Amino acid sequence: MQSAHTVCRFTGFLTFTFSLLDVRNECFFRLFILCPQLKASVNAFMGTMVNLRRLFDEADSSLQGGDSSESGSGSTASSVSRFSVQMHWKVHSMGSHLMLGLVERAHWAKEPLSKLFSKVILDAPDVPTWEFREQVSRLAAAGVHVLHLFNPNDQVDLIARALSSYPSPVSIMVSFSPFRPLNCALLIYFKLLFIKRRWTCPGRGVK
Amino acid sequence: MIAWFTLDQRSVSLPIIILHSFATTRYLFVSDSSGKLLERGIVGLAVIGFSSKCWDPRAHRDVSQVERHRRKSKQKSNAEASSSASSLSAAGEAVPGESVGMLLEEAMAKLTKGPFPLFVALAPLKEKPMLRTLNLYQTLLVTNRAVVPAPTTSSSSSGQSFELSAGELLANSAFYQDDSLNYNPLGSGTGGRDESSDGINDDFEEQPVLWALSTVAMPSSLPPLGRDMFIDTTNIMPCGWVHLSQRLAYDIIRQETIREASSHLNKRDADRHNSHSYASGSGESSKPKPSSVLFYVHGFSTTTYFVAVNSAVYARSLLGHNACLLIAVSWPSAPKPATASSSLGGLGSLFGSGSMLSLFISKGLDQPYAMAFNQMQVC
Repeated sequence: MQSAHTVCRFTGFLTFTFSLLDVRNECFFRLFILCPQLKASVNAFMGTMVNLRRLFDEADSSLQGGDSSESGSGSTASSVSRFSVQMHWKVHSMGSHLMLGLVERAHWAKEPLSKLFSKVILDAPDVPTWEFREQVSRLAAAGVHVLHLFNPNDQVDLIARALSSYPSPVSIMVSFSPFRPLNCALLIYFKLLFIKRRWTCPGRGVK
Repeated sequence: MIAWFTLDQRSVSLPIIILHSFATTRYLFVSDSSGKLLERGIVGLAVIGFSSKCWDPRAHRDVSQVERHRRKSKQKSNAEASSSASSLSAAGEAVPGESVGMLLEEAMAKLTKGPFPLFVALAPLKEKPMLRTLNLYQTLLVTNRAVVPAPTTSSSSSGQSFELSAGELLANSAFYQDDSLNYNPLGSGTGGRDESSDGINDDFEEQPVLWALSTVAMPSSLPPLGRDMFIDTTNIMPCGWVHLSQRLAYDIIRQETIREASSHLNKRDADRHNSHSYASGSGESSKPKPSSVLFYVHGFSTTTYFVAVNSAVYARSLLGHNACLLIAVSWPSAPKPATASSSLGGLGSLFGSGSMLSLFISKGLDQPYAMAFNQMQVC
């Protein structure tokens, strides 16, 4: 009975101590926020992706065999990349957790990232900034083209960020060469501006 | 009343039964005036879309109802039938005079005897007051959700005995071939890499994932990609849902990618031929576009129904331009935060039932949550 009381007091002390800390860090995220369903999904789909990559490689090799037989000795190593099946990704919102998790798993398993991800569209990704920066930098280093569509005034993203207690990715802070952030709010703004100018100055629109 | 479908860019008028297979093998079932079944092509993996009034088996048992309906529909669609018949004849197909009198049982019996994998889902489309053209889009779906496969009515392994009603499924024996989760697409070491020496897949114990093929009918009147549009999702009708074995899914993916790449190869050869004839070969023009597969990962709290609908919308926009195949990756998208016990194992029991976690989250929640809702109210 006394030991249970001690445990309760110890638990309360720990709770109080941790509540004083700033919990918005990577360790906290990995321990508590990243849910087991997402981890299980990453594990489940990683094997599938690797198997699919092998399937595509097999298809490539069979095609190259047919191509080399047709064109004689003209097939070179450059034709390997020309017929390789590319894997494009279109990821929305919290699905970015899954895809970036796959990126991390593939990185640590030394899988070639450029084979698993050729072009990636991150559509309003709902992931913390540090994870976004880390995984996107890996993708960029592997030569993967990443298009990041975001809206800084995305209120759903704001609420999701509040619920998960982590800051969402801000693309201004990230700049890599194959990485293209696209502010959709600006796009909408310029489109509206263009429409307004066309309506107010009809002569410009005609030209 | 009866939906139209387009198959191979041909408008097919009512009321025929269309089996839309995934790969190049397409099968069209029609019947002539005497009710004799005409066959076209080879049966591959098939999903059936049909008008509920015509092909509801309960209604179909009453032959007089079908005949009455056939006469009405014939009068209504005489003009359209003639136009579509001309298009069919232009494509080199025999034109059926009548197309209602086909017996479903006869069709099913022929299908189940076939050596090709077959899966037929009787999914009645909603009846619409106006005739219109629908396009069918098929996407693959891979999920680790706990999706319960729909029951099949083929009791015997040969798939000969069946009794169909709406919403039930039929599959032949070729569909249910042995399916092992650790299927190696490279085969048993013939020309492939040695998996044991490679060691790539050793770290990833493949979890059981489910594969499915969804067929979604969308109005063909939607504007093409790049135009401003408002997609009314109520007009989008999922009309087929097929659970695939992993082997079959891999076969489909392999078929599609090889078909796409070989079509590019043929195009390149044609370009080479043209460039030789004009004696001005340019490397850029003859460079084939590589085959590509698009993976779509959905966001938070998306049901399987909307995964199918969304993937069809993306398939409509992007397939053919950017990719040859769309694979929707579906995951349990209403995640709950990790409890203390699941995160810390044995230590978690010390902290009670996640009370510390809720306290942590609530600390981070207060200010931005209120701010977010304030902004919501302002806007």
